[in-house]
Amino acid sequence: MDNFDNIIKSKARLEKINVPAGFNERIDTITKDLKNNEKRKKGKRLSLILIASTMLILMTTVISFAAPMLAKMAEGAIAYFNAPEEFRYLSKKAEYEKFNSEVGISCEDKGINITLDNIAVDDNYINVFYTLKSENPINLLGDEGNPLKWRLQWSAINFRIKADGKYIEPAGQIEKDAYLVDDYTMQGMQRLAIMDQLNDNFNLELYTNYIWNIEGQWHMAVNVDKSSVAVDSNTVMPDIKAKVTSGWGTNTSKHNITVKKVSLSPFGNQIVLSERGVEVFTEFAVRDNRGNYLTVIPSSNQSHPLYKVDNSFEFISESKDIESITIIPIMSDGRSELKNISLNDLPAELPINDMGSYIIESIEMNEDKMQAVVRQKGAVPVMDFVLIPIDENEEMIRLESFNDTEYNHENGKIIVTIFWGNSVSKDDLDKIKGFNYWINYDFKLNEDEAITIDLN
Amino acid sequence: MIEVKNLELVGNVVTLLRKDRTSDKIAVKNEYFCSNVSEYKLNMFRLAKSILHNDIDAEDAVSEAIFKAYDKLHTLKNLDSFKPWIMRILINESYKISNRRKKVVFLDETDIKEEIIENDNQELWNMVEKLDEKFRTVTVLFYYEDLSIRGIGEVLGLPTGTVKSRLSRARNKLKEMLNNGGSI
Repeated sequence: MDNFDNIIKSKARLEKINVPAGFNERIDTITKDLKNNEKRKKGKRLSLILIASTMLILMTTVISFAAPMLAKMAEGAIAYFNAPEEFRYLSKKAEYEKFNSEVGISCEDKGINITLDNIAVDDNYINVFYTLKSENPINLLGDEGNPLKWRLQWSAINFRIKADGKYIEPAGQIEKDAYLVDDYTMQGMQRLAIMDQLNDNFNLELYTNYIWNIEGQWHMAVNVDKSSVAVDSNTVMPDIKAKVTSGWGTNTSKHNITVKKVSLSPFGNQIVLSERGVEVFTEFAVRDNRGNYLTVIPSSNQSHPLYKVDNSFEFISESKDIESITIIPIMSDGRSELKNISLNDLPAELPINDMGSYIIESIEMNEDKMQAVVRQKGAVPVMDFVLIPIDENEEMIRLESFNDTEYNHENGKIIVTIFWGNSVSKDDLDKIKGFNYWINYDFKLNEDEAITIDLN
Repeated sequence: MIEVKNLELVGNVVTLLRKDRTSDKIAVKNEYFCSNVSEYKLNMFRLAKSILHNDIDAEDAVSEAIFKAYDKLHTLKNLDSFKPWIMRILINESYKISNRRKKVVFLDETDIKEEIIENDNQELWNMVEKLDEKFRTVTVLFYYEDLSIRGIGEVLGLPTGTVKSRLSRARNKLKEMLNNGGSI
């Protein structure tokens, strides 16, 4: 056990365990019953909870759907896009404003009011735009040392959803964004990937139990009609089962996958893969019928050793006129090496394996951040492209900094940003003479196990 | 009912119980079991939460694990192993609930609390919550529960090599998060 382990263990010992209100009392009641040898029948508590919850649901349903507002996707402005600065989904503004509905319903608890301003729904994503008003000044989550945009994302609402009363399992990625209008008002959005196929008309419930660590009940319901978006979408549910292998050597990974859904739609293209196992299949390239390799946005995923779990992968294509896509496992032994590029040689194309490269189209650096606009060319691993500052001796410079990567969902351009921390001076920045980046060895595509999905 | 002030004096309660289920011995069993559960209930909740990511499911998993463990107390061979033993039962219950949530059409999800809550006085936990589940569980068992590599392997039913590998990757991810601005 090294020093790091000791530090983490001491920190762990000091951290309080947060339990829900009444937890200790409920567990104590169970142990008290056992002590008195009056063990309850298994499932009794669950049944009671189920009955109570069902009653609650019925009551909620009556209240929520007494006059469900109809949200029909149509053209209209979205107030959220009056944001004072750039934000993550600006590239999708035109699509969102083409297919959305102004809603205006509200709910309030614990002095926090949520108004659902707009909702934009297609076959792959539910996008909600909302305004939060708080009686007290908003305390953003996270330390002040973190970039403001991260703290805003952490503080934005994480909605859960139901469609026609059925809980929709969330995808692994949590996509949300927000900005402060004033000390008491936040405008935010959340983009929820849908891994099943929803009806064109359905009752949507949005709810959450925590906002900024404040526990409460916030619940809104709306009837969604997305039939107008269907014209611009192309969704297939191929249910193709396949055995695929990615990697070799110690990096070999075999998977039994089901290609559950492939969809091109206005708010984002999506592949849904279903798989059981501790490590899911994520190492693949996507190629369209014209031979173009399409950018797959890296995201977190979920897995389970015993049960099949769905994961959603978003890919970017400038053209919606695609007849088929092919999923090709990436063969790589995982070895990589750092290469460097001088600041004077940028912009440039950086080959990172025998089949693909990243093109740095532009790079700008100021006292706050370094920002590079990058584009994928050919086949590359599904991981964020990283630039690491180096000095004149090609040695890495350790600066207090935060990395961030954003994808333009329309054209696939990648915005790589390094935010300099407060302690980074102009002298430190003057030392930057170039950047390190990772290249892969033995990168090949496993064409023998490629899966083609016809979209016609 | 006898009063048990020092459990170490009781000896191998389990063996006793197998041989002779008198009311006093049942009381000893209950006392032993309940005092251990009281000691570990918060740790159990944290472990279940690391798998299930929401408070209600985690509490259900803890409750179910307590009932199950009580039924299976006779299978506990060594009293010193109570903690890893009940943690293993808890992990199984957590996976069962996780499966139920994936397979069943839910009617009672109004209270679901799956979002990762960033808590200012839980910097380490906030980082652990961001790890993938397979890394999260070993991290919780190693750093929070102070179990040995072997103990973790027994709890999770994994070879020690796999535990080491996962722990090493979890450690690297934690370091990476710290390098990227986290603080503890």
